[in-house]
Amino acid sequence: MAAEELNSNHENSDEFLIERFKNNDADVFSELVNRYKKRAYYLAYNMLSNETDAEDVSQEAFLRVYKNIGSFRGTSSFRTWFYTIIVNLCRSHLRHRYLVSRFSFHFKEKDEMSDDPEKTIETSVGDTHWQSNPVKTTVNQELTKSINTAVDSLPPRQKEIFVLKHYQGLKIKEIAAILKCAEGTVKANLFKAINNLKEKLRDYKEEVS
Amino acid sequence: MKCQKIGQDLVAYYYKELEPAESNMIEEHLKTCQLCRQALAELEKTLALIDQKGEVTRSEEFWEAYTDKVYRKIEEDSFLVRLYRDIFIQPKLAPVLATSLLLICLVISSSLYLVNKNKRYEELQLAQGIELFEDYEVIQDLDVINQVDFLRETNI
Repeated sequence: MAAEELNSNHENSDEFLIERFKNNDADVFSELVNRYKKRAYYLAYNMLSNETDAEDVSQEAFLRVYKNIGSFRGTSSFRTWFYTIIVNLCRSHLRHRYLVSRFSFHFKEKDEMSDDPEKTIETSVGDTHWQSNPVKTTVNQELTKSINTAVDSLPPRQKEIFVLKHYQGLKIKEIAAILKCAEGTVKANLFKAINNLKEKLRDYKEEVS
Repeated sequence: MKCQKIGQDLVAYYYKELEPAESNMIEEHLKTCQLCRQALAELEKTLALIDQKGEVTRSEEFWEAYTDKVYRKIEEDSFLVRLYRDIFIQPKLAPVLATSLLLICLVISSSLYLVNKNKRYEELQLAQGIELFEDYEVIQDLDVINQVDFLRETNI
């Protein structure tokens, strides 16, 4: 919503900033970083489930924007272009992680993956009312961990679509443009993802308040 | 409207992404279809449960450091750093390197082959020379030369 309000003002729109950046106005880049850093980080975080990787990948995405801004022709919105870069970087990172885990005897994927959900819970607990109720805190820690595990275990395509839709709040049309597929495919995968999550989180149904 | 078709649109309906006409059709269908109403309720319940997940938050210091790191990455992206990274960390140049290595191996092996071939030729020539020499020795041993000289003298 905030991004839409900013875009309504032409001088603050992404397209206007990109034009200025293309005309060697380097200061504009900091505006783009400030505008997109949180979304980039959280998208990478939800895709990779690891805060160090999320930081690296999202920063790499900004570097790509800086280097390749000349190749951005404006046929899609900057946001779509930028999200496509992040999604592609996350995919290659996951592929790399998969190969390492498959061929390295010393790689402990579990350790790396379980590192973050704990931190996530700690961070979130500190920011919510759960802190006041230890019993509920434990339940919600468990719930958060289970939700993270459930989303992580979705097939890659379903996970990407679910994260982009539910966590990032993108429109189905935008997701279709980012993933270069039909809107029907997005809807079908989203429907399957939610059904899969429903099955995986069956034990927690009572938690819904 | 059939229930099979409504399944995917139910998600779009939940996220309020349908055209008003499509939305009205779904609502009309939901009034008469118990199964789809139940499916929508299940979907809402699942997403409500997921929304109870704790939010990840980062401090202001984290975001300041994050921005600094982005700029540092841009500065560090000099040619040499990029080359090193491309070769050793993200081996984009792997196909080029593999081809170069293959070419180098081909050049080395063909050079070795040519050197060996020349060497064999020289050895062959040497062997032929030795044979000639040995033939000469045989002639010497048989004292043929002396006989030829004697016959030459007698003829004269």
